Amino acid sequence: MRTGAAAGHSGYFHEAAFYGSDDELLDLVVPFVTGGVAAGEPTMVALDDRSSDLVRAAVGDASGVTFLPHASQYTRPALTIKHYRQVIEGHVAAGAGQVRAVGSVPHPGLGAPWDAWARYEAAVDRALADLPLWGFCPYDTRTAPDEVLADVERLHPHLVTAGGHHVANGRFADPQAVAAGRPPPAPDPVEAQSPALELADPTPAAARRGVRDVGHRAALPQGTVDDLVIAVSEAVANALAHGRPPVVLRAWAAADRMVVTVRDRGRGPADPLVGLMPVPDRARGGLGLWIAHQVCSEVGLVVDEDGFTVRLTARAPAAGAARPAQPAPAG
Amino acid sequence: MSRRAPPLLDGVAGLSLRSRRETRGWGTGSRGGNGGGAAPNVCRERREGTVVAVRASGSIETARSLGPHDHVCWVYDDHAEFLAAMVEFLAEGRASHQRVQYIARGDRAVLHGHVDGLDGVDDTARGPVLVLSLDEVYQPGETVGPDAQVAAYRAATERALADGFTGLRVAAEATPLVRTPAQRAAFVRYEHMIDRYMVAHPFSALCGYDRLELGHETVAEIACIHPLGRPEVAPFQLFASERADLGLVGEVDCSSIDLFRRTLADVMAGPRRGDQGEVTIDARHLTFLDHRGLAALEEEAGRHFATIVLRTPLSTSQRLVELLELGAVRVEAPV
Repeated sequence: MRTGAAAGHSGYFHEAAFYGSDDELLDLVVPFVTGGVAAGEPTMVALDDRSSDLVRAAVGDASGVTFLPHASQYTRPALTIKHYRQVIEGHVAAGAGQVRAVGSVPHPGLGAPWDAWARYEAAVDRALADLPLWGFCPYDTRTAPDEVLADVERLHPHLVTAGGHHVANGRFADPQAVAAGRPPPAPDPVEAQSPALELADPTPAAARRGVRDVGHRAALPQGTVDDLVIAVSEAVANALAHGRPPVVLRAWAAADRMVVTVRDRGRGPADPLVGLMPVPDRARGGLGLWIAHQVCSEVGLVVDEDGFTVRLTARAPAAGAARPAQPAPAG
Repeated sequence: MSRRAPPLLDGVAGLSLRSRRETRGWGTGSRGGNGGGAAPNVCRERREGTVVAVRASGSIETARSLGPHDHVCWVYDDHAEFLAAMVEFLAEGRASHQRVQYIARGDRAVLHGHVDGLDGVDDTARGPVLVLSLDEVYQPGETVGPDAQVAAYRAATERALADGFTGLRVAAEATPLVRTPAQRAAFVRYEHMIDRYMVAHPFSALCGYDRLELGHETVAEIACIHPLGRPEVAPFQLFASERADLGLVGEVDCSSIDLFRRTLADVMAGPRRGDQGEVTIDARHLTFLDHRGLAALEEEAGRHFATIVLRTPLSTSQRLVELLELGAVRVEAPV
């Protein structure tokens, strides 16, 4: 049994709304969460801290709503998908007919690069397709850039209007096509410098050694370097197995991060959302990029006329309260 | 076949020798042409508080300073280079009062010539260098029966000890024994069985293989089940360990996964110590194991209704086990 706008719907019900004031946010979110609690449906809030506080104040602490810390729920897209799946599968196993979640998907207005999260919005329709989830993504038009709003409008099959009406979204488009048509993620500023390492047609072993050496020379934490090394090994293995030579690896190190690009002359994976889907079938491949998405701070896939590039970024954990600077947003 | 016993050291065979073992630096995986390559990439260490020497693993550049349990795969391109290593290996064995034996193909008189360089071949105090021609023992293409072969070396080691030697040391040019796939399949099983015997008994061996005759792939198949080998021959080495059921060094990734799967299956098919439903792998010097390698461990563990415990300091292994939700592989810190 599912209640509310998703009643009678099968699988993931993915809905967005645009708001321009705190009152508008509350008018959208409060009925969503109180309706969920009233229906006995597990209900989660993963809004940015400020919005979360507003909702908490409106519904009260003892509302039965689960508030998730935004920073840990939205660290990187592949982990967010994995976490939502785990939690929702748990609720379903415990007998839930529907789970409700409202979350602020990160964008430059919230201090995060959009490319990764645009791919997330495109991926969730498929990645969560089988779950009885009503996922609600409210976007703040005061902070979200236009390019974000334009993508959001095409990536949600359902919308809530300012008047609170739930409608089918006539502008919804095939998420895979939307993802494929987006501009490529912008390079990291550090790529303007000459690389610390450049390898032509490396074996995965040579790539691992080279990247490990650069990471150690830059004195990045061992765990950060180790994570990147796993991802680099997989990217090179993919280039050798699926790409076309020559394969060129470049690596850069900055005080707080390392960036590695692996480029080949092939056309890249057919699926622009590869790596974000739940644990892929080993026989069908894709596990390498899935692992890269899990362990790297950011993964950028760039397809151009000359070939395919995977950009892997590993950030050192922020020291104290200072968060590492984000690269320039895409587009 | 009368042999005179060498003088005993400290009255107890083997003991004085073990205390002589030296400690070398551990290699941390400088495999594969990153220049340099001068320092031996050997993992050798001494257990705190005991005289039991831990056998070496990894890759070596010379056949010197090897201990009474060491097991080397000496892949060569130039036969003279093998002969030099063989002489070094056996000479040190004789200096340590081990019974030494040289086995190779060809006429026995020619083989005697190969060991001429050994100090005092007829030194009666140290016993003669035993020389055996493979031509007298095996038919061409004959498959070596693993059980019989292990039993023969066990008996020979016990005889050496009974005769007052500190152990048995054999250098064998084994190329003719692994020419066909059937021979190799049997030989791989044999090599691992004898490797297990060597962990606990004073039997050391250097097995020579001609790379030009066998090819890169074949020598890698053989080298990867020896604890010691030459650099850049095998991507990984899986062998018997005194710390765990198995030892694993080197790297496993997409380029070596097929060999790893096969080797793991061969090694797991043999009897294990303990057999408590857990198979432990000492992987303290493992450099890299990708998701394919971990999946191979998971599958093999499942096949044997066991849990594989991988003892490694690699944070990546724990990370991947969690990500892939592997249920039959557990990662622990090395003990």
